[in-house]
Amino acid sequence: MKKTILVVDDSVHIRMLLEAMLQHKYKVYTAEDGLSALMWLAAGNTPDIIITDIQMPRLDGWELISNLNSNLLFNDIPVMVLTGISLHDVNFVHPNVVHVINKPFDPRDLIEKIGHQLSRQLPMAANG
Amino acid sequence: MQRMQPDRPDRLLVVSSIHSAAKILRDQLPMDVKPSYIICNISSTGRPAELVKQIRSLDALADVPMFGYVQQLTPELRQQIRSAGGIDNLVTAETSVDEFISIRDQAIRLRSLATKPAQTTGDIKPRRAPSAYVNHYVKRGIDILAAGTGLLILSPLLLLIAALIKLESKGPVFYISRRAGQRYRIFNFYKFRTMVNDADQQVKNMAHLNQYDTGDKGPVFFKISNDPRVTRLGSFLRNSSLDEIPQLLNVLLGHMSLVGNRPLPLYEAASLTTDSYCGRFMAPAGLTGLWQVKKRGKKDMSVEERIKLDIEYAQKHTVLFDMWILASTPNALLQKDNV
Repeated sequence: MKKTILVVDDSVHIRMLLEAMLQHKYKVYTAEDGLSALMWLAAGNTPDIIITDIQMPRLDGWELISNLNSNLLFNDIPVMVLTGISLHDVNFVHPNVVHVINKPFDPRDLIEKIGHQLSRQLPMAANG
Repeated sequence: MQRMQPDRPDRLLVVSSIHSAAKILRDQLPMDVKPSYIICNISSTGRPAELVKQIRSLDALADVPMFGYVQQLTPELRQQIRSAGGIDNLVTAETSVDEFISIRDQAIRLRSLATKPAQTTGDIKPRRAPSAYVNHYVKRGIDILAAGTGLLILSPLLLLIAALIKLESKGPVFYISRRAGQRYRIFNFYKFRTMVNDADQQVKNMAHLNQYDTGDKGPVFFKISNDPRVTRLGSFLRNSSLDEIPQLLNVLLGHMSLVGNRPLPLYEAASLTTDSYCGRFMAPAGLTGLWQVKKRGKKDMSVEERIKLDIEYAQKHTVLFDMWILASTPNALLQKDNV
């Protein structure tokens, strides 16, 4: 069974690009902001990994990550941050953030990181 | 869970069964009485899916946060609850009052935000208009027909050029590089070899000559006027654009189209994966394109201008627009600068 990825980004082109690159190997869902992502999760969906932008309307990446961390239902889902803002000075205290990648990014490197992360974990549907 | 001591007294209604809860909620809704939030003791029911379904079946309660109470959370139970959906968060025997108030307020805020329409443009997966499909298939049909015919007619010339390349310098006839095309599809890109055999290894030593100098910031394009790595025959092939003919094979294979944005070497493509630039990857990769007919050969063209043209093409390409670009291409082939 294909593992599932949720891509959260307000740029439709980034969403389409990631979906096109990842859909051969994974089941890819996309959301245009953190709120859509949380509502999708609350509707009964569980991805194996979430890739999120930071600057988004309605609910940004920080809030999304913070909500996931404080939620017993979703705090075990690994998160990859993919952002255009520089995060060198930001101290990530979120235990579920596994990678921070800056845009522009090398898609091959991103795919490799995703593959490495997902190979280390059981499917979410199986491990809860 | 500890007993809460709120600033203002909350009206709590404790119900022992799911069915009673659903009935009370249904009876109260016509009188516009709605709970601020709902807590369900999941441990006692053991059937989170049925419980949530009962409560969430009432549309009027869509914006009401719902919390599940579990005595002890096991991975299996967690998966069961989240698969059922409808639960905003969980509370356990260890959850403090402050923690509960925090997650309660968070859930109320999110539910109220979710009922407002999104301020973003475009759907999660924009539906393509029927005309886009017509354009796609007509374009592909033209590509196959033109590339197939072109390869057949030009085959004697291809053989001649291949022989001349072999005679002039050591190395293969074709230069094959990995390029990123539409939606970053990576493929083998074919050209006649116009440079010395180790040209790629020399790039690092020649960065200071790059025509597209952006320092260490921004998109990366690499092009040098009067590049010393180009052979004499290569120079002629480039100026006449005959080195591009093998790309008809890429067109035939579906990697490229006759008209589109240039497929980029991977190091250049990776510098364009930003919100503002990656729109250029939405267009098919092409032999010729808007950039070639509008700007080709101009030394003063900036990277920004070039990407702007790529994005412009991605946004408005149609079969008719392609025809106009194809018709304008012969003039662009006679380059003003040896790049």
